[in-house]
Amino acid sequence: MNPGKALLRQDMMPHILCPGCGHGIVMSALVRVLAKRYASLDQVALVAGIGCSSRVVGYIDANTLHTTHGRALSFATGLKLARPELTVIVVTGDGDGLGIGGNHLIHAARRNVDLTCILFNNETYGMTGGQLAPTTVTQAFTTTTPYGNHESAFDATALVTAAGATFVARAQAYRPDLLEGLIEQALDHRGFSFLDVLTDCTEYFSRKNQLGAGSDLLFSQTRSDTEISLDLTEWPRLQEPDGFPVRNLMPMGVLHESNRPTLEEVMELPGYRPKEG
Amino acid sequence: MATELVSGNEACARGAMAAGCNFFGGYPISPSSEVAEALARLLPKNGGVFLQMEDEMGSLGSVLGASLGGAKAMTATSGPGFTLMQEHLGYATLAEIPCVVVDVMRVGPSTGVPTAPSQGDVMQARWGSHGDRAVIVLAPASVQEIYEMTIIAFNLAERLRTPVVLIYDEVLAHMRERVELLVPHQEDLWRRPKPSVPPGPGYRPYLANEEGVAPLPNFGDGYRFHVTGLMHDERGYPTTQAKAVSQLMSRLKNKMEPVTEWILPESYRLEDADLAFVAYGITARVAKEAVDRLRDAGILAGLFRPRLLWPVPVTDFQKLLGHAGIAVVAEMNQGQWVEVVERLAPRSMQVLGQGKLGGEPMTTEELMNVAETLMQKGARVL
Amino acid sequence: MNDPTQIHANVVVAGVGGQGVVLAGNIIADVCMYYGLDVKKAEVHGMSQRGGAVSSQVRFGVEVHGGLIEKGQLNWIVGFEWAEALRWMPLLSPEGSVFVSTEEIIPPSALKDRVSGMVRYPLELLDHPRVRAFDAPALAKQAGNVKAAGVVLLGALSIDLPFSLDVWNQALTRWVPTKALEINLRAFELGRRWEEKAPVTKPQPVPKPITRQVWLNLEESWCKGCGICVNVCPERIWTLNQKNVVEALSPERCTGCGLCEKLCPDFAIDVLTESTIRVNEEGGSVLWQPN
Ligand code: SF4
Ligand code: SF4
Ligand code: SF4
Repeated sequence: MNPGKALLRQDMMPHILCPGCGHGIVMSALVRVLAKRYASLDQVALVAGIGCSSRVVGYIDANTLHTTHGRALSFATGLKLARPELTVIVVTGDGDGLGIGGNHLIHAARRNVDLTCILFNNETYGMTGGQLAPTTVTQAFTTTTPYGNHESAFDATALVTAAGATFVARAQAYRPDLLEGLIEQALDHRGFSFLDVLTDCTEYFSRKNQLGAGSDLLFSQTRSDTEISLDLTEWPRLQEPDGFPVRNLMPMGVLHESNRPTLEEVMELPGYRPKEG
Repeated sequence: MATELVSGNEACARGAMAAGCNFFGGYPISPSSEVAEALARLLPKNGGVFLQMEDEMGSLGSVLGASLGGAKAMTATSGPGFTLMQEHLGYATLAEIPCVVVDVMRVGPSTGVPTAPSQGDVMQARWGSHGDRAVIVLAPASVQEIYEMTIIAFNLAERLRTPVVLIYDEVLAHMRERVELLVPHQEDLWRRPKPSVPPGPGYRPYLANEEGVAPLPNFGDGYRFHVTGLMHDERGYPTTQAKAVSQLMSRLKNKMEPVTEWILPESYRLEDADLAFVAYGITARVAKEAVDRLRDAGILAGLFRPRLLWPVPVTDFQKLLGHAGIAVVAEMNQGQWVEVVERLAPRSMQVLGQGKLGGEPMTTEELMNVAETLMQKGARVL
Repeated sequence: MNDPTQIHANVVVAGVGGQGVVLAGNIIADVCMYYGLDVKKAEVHGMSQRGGAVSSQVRFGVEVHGGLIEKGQLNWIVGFEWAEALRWMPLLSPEGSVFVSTEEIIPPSALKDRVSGMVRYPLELLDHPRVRAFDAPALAKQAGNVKAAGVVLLGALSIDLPFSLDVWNQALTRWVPTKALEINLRAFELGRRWEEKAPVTKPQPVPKPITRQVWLNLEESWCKGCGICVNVCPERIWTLNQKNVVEALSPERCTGCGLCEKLCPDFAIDVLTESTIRVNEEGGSVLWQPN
């Protein structure tokens, strides 16, 4: 039993995500962690932007803020500095957080406000119908790249590391235990923590790229560790060694960790209680 | 009470402090930057937070986040930045998040003349954000009034749970005047209404009180509610039902209506005026002098100065200058508020827009010339 | 039933990754097509690269509509792996039969439970009258390569079907790599003669399994029928019904691994163990509860 289920706004469920959408799995891991860590969500705020991923916060019975496209981190920064005692978690997508909101992301990383940002990365704009995202790999098909994507993709983790984030990790929907552990580590971290979670858009991205539906798509994340590739420049041609497609993956786990004072500490905000470590 | 010689932007910052502002998120832009600079000094010393954000979207975003955390929050910007803030102004209206936004007007469109005054953002302040929304826009005409109206802006924002825009031009922003920095009594500072029910199933975050305003607890107070820019029901949950949507939109408009009774326009020598100037902000001060000089020259002139541009003070307008034969709407743009006057004016009234472009303020002579020409053309001369 | 052009039947080939389940399905489909039959084939491959469950449903007849076999409509189960075959038992028609290898392959995700002795390998159906179990790998070894065990089972199946040996051999020739063809043809032949030749090893009786207290709870109205749980469950417990909602086929096999719950995007499944059951006191319908 997922103890996080008790934290859902039951009268809003079931959620609007498509059948098999990886975002639901990430959401499930997130509430599981919340239930494990917090006796009550009174002091937890979830801030999201716009997009399928961002809809997730509305179903969780915390202080939830569904903001404008790309700007969740700025709302979260204001909220956190006004109420430093709150735990503030930002839920964003790849389009929301890296496209329209990319500027806020790098600056949030630079400021090192004690926030946790979870980026649901499905390589596409789901809510608007499966268009090109900043994380869509080269050659992939989307509704706005009918001839394949000519551009290169962002590696979100490298970006925020360069911008100064003090905790950077990557997880995937397919490995819920790894995901849960990393969410916990991110929440434990003192400073700006960033989690790039590979998830899937069954409705658009998978159909356009023939990655299969539901579980097939999910399984396409299961390439063994030896075959993990850092190469984001080329669309890993869909290979079918066992009769279903396989995609290249990026390294998982904690990719960067460092220690410097949070903005709350530097500003000496009275309500702020720095975490251990 | 202290009397000091301060600039308009400084007065704005001091007014904010007097109103209990404890959060500012902003981005530098001429000619508003001094508001941020002043608050960067004042806020941290007084337990507040000053934050320079990466852009204007982020500025107002941080302000809204802070406000939900319980802060009295504001930002200040100028034309181009104000444009970038429009989305969040719309968001704040719908999600009902109190905040104050100061727009120091400069010549536009685009980068225009960054350091020259204009009154070109009047319509932007009204219709800048997409969708259909009611707004509160205050237009001070002196440094003293900037100070006072900043406090009023916070009061309105808190009481009505809405963004309030304060607009003035570059001349006022940088003009130094003697200002009485009256410190308001604590009881004269409004705070957003708080829910009367305890947290729990009985609490409906968007259930309005008798003023049409939904009480707003802070994030972290134990009321775990949902805030969204989607149309929502009383629970705060997204809805697309026509009835719920239209009810919400009507409530958001109706709650603003009493503001016209709270913020009254200035009426100067209007009682027997044949010709009325309609002007706001710095232009109104020029118009006021023109009124006196015209009267000296035998022309019965008067001035109607709206201090609240939106919502439009309809009743006052009709009551105070319905009888004048001519209205000259003087503004530093190509004719914006004149459209309001044209709509409100009785049939018998001749309405003329007197614009001024180029970044130089309107002069008394210009207004006198206009008035004299008009009066020679047939209006009654004493 | 004896006219190969008029036959109407359903076969499931079940096994784990790497056993050639999909290939076997293709061979059956190929043979049917030779006789002009309409064929529908549905495959489920879970974590097949990791030894996870794989199955191939082959439906054939003069005209076939849906791709999925319904309860009581399954005529033959070809089990490359014993436990995988068992998952399909609830679908078997009363006259249906099962050809199954007694080889045990434990899916890695269930390994923890099996190794600890919490859950035993299920051999209880070995005495079922419709089950024809034999040591296919041993026969395959005899043919030249243990990997041809699946083809041995196909050979056994071919006895029950009205298709000619020539057509089977043609299909094998088309699908099996030339290098391995000879061994596979031999394995097929051995499979056809399994009744006389096969050394049926009756497994030792096992101690009564220690069952763990696991309850499965399904919030039907939240299930969107994505099929993730169907494919991830190492025990193959979930199946999608006609309403496109999951249903527990054989909940008694649940090891409580929790994969389905964690990977369901819709919070529809609760896996309740003794430690969590109290949380759900008033909760929904308990689907299954052991003894
Ligand atoms: S459109 Fe894509 S990302 Fe959005 S809910 Fe559907 S599957 Fe998920
Ligand atoms: S917990 Fe779920 S996935 Fe695991 S065996 Fe039981 S039903 Fe299957
Ligand atoms: S994973 Fe969940 S939603 Fe998908 S079929 Fe299974 S129970 Fe239904």
